[in-house]
Amino acid sequence: MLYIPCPWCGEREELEFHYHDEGHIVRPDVSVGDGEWSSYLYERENVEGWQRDLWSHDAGCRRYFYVLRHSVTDEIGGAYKVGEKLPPLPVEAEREMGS
Amino acid sequence: MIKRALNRVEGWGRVDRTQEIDFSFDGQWMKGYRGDTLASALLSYDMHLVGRSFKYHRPRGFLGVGSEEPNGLVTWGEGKGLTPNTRGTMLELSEGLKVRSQNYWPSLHYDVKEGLGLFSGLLTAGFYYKTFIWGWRFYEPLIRRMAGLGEGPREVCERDYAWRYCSCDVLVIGGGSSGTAALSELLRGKGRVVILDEGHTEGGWMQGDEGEVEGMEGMDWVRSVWSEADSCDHVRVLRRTTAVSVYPGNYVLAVERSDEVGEGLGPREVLWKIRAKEVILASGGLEQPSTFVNNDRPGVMLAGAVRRYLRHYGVRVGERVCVVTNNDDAYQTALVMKEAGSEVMVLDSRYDVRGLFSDRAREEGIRIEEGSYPTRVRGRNRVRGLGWENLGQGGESLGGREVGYEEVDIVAMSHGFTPCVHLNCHWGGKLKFDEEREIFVPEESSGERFQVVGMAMGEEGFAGGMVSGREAGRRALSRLGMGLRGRMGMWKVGVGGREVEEGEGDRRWDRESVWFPNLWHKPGKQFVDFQNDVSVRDVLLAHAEGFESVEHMKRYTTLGMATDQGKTSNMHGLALLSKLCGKGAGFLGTTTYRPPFTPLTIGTVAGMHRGDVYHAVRTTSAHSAHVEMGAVFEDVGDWKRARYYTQTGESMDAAVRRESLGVREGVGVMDASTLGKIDIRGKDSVRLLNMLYTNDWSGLKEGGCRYGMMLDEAGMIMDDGVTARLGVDHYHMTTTTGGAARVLGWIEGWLQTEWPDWEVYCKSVTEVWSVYAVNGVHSLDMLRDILDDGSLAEGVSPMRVSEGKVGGVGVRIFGVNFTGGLGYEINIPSRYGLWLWRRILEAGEKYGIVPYGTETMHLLRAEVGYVIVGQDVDSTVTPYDADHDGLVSKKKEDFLGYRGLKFGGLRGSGRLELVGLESENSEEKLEEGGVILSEAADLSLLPLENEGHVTSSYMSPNVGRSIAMGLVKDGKSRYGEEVLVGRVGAGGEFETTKAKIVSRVWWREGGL
Ligand SMILES: [Zn+2]
Repeated sequence: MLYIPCPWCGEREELEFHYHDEGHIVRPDVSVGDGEWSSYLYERENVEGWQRDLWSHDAGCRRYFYVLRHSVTDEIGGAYKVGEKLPPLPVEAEREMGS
Repeated sequence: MIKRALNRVEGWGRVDRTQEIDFSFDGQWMKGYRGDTLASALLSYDMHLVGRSFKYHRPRGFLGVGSEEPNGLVTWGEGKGLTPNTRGTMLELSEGLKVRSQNYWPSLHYDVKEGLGLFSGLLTAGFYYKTFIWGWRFYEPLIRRMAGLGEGPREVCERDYAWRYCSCDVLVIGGGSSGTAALSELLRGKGRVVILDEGHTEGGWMQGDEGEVEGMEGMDWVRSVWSEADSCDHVRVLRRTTAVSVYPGNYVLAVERSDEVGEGLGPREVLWKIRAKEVILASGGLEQPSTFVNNDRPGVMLAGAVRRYLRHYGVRVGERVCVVTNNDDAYQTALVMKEAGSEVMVLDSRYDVRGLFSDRAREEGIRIEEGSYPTRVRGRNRVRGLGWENLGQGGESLGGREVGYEEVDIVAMSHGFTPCVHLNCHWGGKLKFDEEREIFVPEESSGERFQVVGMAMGEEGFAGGMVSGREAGRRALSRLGMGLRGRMGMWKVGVGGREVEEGEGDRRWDRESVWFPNLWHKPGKQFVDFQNDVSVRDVLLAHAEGFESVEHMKRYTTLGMATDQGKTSNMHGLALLSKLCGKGAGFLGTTTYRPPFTPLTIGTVAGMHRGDVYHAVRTTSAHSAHVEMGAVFEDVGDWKRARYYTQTGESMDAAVRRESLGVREGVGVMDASTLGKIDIRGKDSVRLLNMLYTNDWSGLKEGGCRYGMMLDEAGMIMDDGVTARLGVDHYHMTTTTGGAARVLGWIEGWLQTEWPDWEVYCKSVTEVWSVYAVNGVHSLDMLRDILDDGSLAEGVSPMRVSEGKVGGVGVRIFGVNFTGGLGYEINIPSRYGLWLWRRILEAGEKYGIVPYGTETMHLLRAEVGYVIVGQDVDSTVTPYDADHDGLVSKKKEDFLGYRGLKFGGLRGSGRLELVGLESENSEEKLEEGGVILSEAADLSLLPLENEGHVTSSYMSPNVGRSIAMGLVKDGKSRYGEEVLVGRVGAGGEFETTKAKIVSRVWWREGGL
């Protein structure tokens, strides 16, 4: 089980949290076509490596926030609040992406 | 029957000979000592035969000494405390312990099923799969009776099982020499340390091995470190505790067993949930058996176990011992058994044998047959003798001719060791194959705070294991910022009176590539997996039938799938299959290691979660009154809701009939407190509501109420309810009972991620208010009676919320109802809930008030065509499908679900639409879930086209007939048409009944 560092409360057990979705999914304007809307609804990056998750601290402060997580090792690389400047992905990921 | 413990040798062992313990095995009373296990105590009486095998009912004895034991499963305790399938090697002796053997009929010493020999030909690899094709029905009862482990208890255990939570800086798993070495370093630091060992006495292999540390005998040194830990405040010592699983993030589950001694016993077992910043895994190695014919006979044991019974328990398991080995380590067993007075010989499959212990054995004059390998064991219930063949220089078979035979009563075998890597693999740690030593070892982990040390890491020898343990302890502390001062000092580590250095005495892995030299030409069974009765022949058969993946072979043969998790079988199975594929032993890799490492009882998993505290329940403030009035409850989410009130044992149908007539004709009251309630404030509140609901909220005036539907972004219905405007920027939202938490989370998600700049705040007030729905023609009269005079500023009216007082307590009265006709929902602060409930019943007496439950509520709302989200509509249904077209604003340019609703096809033909249904026979209630077919459907032409299904169906006394709702293909344009509704008939066959598509509204105030 993971330890999730809530940016408001600090590290807590995964049990207190709820995973929602990949982070930073932008709701398109409602004028877009069916294809773009269904991509917003259903299509995800499904990255093998570092990614940004959207979680909420349901059994704590009830805040939504983003978590850097490695989808293969489940390593947690940090967390940040909504609206904060995006922290870079951990270095390994940069390298993975560069290659 | 032997009544004296002749195998107990004077002067040997560490059990407490001053404390005798009486125990019984299969009704026979015997004596052991404090510190014994069942296995050591039985072996002291020379009782080797203790059980029957799983499939073939072959006689079996103890193979090992710890949790790796595949054979010696027993049932202990009786009645409420009965516990089956416990390894006798792990069962600590306690006063009065009663133990039974398992899986025999009619007696342990003579088993009919084995005697018949009927099954051995049948139960080969893949038997179950092959049999499923043709004869399973015939074989199943037979097999169920025959194959099996112990029987489960039939009574409820009254002893407690508990869970405990613990977090620490360093967790050490395993208390053998390397785990203890790690502990000794950790004791010098300040971090919070937990060390656990599954034995009731620490030491692991050290209990049976030679070794000296700093001039102390090995076990004395282990015990001195542990007793120092016992008295150390920052260290928690857990004996009798097995780590059963490790999850990512160093989350470890461990089971602690009670020592079953003393008055007022604590929990029988404790499940520890440990969170450690650093884990040091010192789980040691597993000695592997050799394969030869009848290698499962009682008296054939692992060499390491044999010497541990002697050195630790003072039990010499036999008189004449043949050690079968391919490594130097097993010579320790030969030496110590000779010292204790047994006759000893060694069969070594290697030539030109040299080594720390084998050299000594030669000096002691022990007979060593080099280049020799066992052919078969003679004897049935106990080893009588062992024959052997000669191997070529490369370990190859020379034809299998038996060249020697010796009468022995113990075969002590060792086919080398394999690192015990289960726990390393649970969390995702990888293995690599060491070609030279033919073992799988953990890969050095990078970044993980999980270190594997000693034999578990494939460490060479005693000295190397100690060093790796100490280094891991220091590394853990230094990574935690608690590093020890100074360099690690040297310890004097010795074996057999001689100092050894790191890398020396590599006794564990010193072996040749002798894998199964005699596969082909021996009749009789050579077992690979003892617990699941899988023999070499089964693996050969699986390979011959084309199985070349270890995962497939495992499932086909069931090798490694027993409760011992293949501790003594997996590696041989994998190596054998690899060899059959013409590759090296590690070629095929391993199967997946899954938790638990050892079986754990259901009681431990459940912990204290049983009976009343099995699951948390939510009750309303008037719950006790419902109970008094004979309510039968149903679960809605975690809530207990009154389903109906039964008087003098009336049936549910009768109760619903009485309640529903009572509400319509007089007045009824229902506890609606479980409805989700969300308080919304802030200047952007109406903006929020306009995004959440499909309809327009801009025109709602203060004091007004409005019904709304919420959609997900695909345009499908998610929840519904009434929201009232309490003030300028203040709203009170209600949701379904089950959807409350989801809706609040949904709202918060949008506000926090998409609209963080909006000024609006939401708070769940579900439990703040108790809500009572009063309905029926007299509801307004009754309301007037209970309200304080003049407390109501304005009157009550439909779709309005008014504030008033009852007995001086402020209430909110919502002019809404879910039943049609006249009805109100009274909200009062929860602490007055029970009081108001009683007050309402009192005041309603003169109108003949009827308390009613959810079942009647469902019926009454169906009479007026209201939908229940989750029953009539779900996340595949749009508001148009639900016949709520008018609820979708044509003016708004966005709301959640707005774009989804515009998906092509969502408004075209072919959608399932909500309509009313009436069965042709008004007395017949359609079946909920019943499939709807076209009236013209030909039941003989399959497949039939599914045109929808019945979602709700009731017998309505108010309407005077059965009524139903359903989702029907293009239903809204088919009113008046007839359809067929399917159901399963009394005889289990499919039948249909006729029904007509009608409007959903059957009842109106003032008559139909
Ligand atoms: Zn938090």
